[in-house]
Amino acid sequence: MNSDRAIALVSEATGYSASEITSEDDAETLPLWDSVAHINIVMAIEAELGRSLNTDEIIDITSIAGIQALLQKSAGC
Amino acid sequence: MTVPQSPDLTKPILTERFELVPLGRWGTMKQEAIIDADDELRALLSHRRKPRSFLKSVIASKRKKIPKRLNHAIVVRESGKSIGLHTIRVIKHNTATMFVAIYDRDWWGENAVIEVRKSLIPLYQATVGVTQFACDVHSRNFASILNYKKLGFENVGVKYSAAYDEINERPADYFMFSLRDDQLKRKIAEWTGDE
Repeated sequence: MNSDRAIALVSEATGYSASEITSEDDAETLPLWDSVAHINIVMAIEAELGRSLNTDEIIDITSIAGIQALLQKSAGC
Repeated sequence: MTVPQSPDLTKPILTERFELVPLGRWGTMKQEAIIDADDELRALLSHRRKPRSFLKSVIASKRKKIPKRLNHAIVVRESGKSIGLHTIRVIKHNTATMFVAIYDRDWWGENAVIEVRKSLIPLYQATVGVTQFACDVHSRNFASILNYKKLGFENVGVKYSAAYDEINERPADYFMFSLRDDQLKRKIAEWTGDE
């Protein structure tokens, strides 16, 4: 479920359709995941969680798996 | 360590879309003034509320010894328009640090920084013998963090409360990124097609 949500967030910010993104993808494998898209992804995650990300969370969200892990962790809190 | 005055470093460098034009002290100051006058960039890069005065800019410029740092205006080849500033500074022990600001918003999200650095890093490694590029990035400079990761830099730690953010009135954390030794060689081979 969090994987779907992570893919949806990245899809919305990059313009890829959700079916073009897999849970193995990251900013390297998706050329449209550029710096502006990344800012939008971070903002969307913060809006979804209702809080600013802390420093330790920010570094790992350049992949679908990283976003998924963050959403999972936040849901468990 | 003084940067040797290699002709490769003092003449313009061409990338696919840009000409990187070496700047002297005044040219650099003009570029820095553009960046400093931009509220958004200043907040992100130096966390100051107000731009520096001209006098402070001159003093700061004199502190930065030109032989140890190389500044390039990033100029669009097609239009001749300058869109940003890139700086490489050799610190010590064959280690260099870098700074970049793209002030033309039309070029945000266009991978300009990645293209520029894929050209400058191999040149610096080859002509100056730099074996490590080490850069600190504000933890909320998301665009820059992504660019370092895309270039293959490794996050090697965090400097917590490394600076004070005047705008948000709180300490600012910085990520430390490094590209060195074998990973540096691998990435350069990848970018230059020498794999």
